[in-house]
Amino acid sequence: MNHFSKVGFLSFTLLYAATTLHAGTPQQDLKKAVSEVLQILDSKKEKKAKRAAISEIYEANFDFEKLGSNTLKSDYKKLSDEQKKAFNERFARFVLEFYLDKIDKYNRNKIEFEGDEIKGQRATVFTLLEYQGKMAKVNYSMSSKNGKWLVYDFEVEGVRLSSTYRSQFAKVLKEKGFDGLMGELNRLLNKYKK
Amino acid sequence: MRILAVVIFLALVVCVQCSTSQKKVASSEISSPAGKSTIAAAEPEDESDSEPELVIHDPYEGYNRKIHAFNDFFFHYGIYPLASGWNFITPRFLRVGLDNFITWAYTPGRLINNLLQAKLAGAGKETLSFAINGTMGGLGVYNASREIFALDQTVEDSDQTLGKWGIPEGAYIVWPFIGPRTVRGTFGFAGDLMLQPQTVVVPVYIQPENIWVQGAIIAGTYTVRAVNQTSLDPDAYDNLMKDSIDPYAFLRDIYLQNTRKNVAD
Repeated sequence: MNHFSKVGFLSFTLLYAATTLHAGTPQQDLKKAVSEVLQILDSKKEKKAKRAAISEIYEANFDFEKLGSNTLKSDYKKLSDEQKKAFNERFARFVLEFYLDKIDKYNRNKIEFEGDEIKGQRATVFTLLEYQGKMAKVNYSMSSKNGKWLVYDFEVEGVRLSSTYRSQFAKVLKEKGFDGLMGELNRLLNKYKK
Repeated sequence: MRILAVVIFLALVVCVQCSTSQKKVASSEISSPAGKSTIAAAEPEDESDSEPELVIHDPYEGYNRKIHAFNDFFFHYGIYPLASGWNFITPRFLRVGLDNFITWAYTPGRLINNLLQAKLAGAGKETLSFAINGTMGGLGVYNASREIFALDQTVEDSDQTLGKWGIPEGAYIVWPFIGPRTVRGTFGFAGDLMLQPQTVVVPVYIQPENIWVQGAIIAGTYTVRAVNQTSLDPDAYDNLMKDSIDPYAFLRDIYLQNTRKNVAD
């Protein structure tokens, strides 16, 4: 290896390191994920392949742990590590089905990105989604993990995903325990299979 | 070898700069004296409870659940069949036109509530779209302001005005036929009814002596609007409720969050 190729190789790694370390803004990361999803929806793939591709993007851009802990709040700390894992996995599945169900209906609607607000490791990205001729406010809560911004909650016209399920889950946990909660989540998931 | 060392050194410098510049943003936020960011800084960085719990004041839950069940039944066996039938016999553009007309006719209520909240931009939007839709839109049947000028009507109502004035929302109440409200929302609903044109137009032009006739006309328009709106997407309610474990709590928490956001806006 001569000097030049060494320099070339190293400056390449240097540049690569610099770009990966230089994190995007929350809005950039979200926009990228959303446009990838829209691209898949526009592609001529089969429905099953589309589903798999979207779920891959979903997994790469969502923080399931935070989604779960943020929804169960104080009850989350009472769960064992295994229960936490099981709950996060089920709830994440449900949110994906929820999202796929809605995006089937609304994917041709206009989305506008209205900027973001960063507070330390957390951020909110403001977007507008066209719904029945009007623009609905959809805000995404994101947190930074290893230099990438991940979604952990969202809000449609003031209605938060976590807050909407919080009291329902708390009630089930209180009355039927953890297994009861998992049963209810499975029941919700089964509705989508039909 | 020297070049290699230099390059590695440079790489390290860039990396360190990258990470410190990010930290700088964070630390400058923490040190800023503004109230908001100090609150943010007071929170531990990686706490799971990032948002406060939703405050729910529902002392009449037992009663509310019964009325909710009744409303649910009434929707599925009253409103839904009517709306599906209406959907079947009437072309969509007529149903959208009727909904546009009613929305247009209710402009005075929204305009007054914009003014009572000192929302001048909203009041301007309402006045402008009222004029555009009343003329170009043929008495509001065609929403020309939205379709041509991208000018939307507002969603202001009397409940939001009362909320803006600092009146607390009070307990959550489910009313038969009407649905979820808070105590404040109930007064707001009554206020909205009084600001609707049929409350003014009916006594002046039709002069029904009987207060019951007047009430029936108001209830009639309310029902027509509800059935017509449902006919635009009859399955919307069921599609929403299918994502719930406890439909009563689900609807309550959605209603409370949405009204709070509308008041805060």
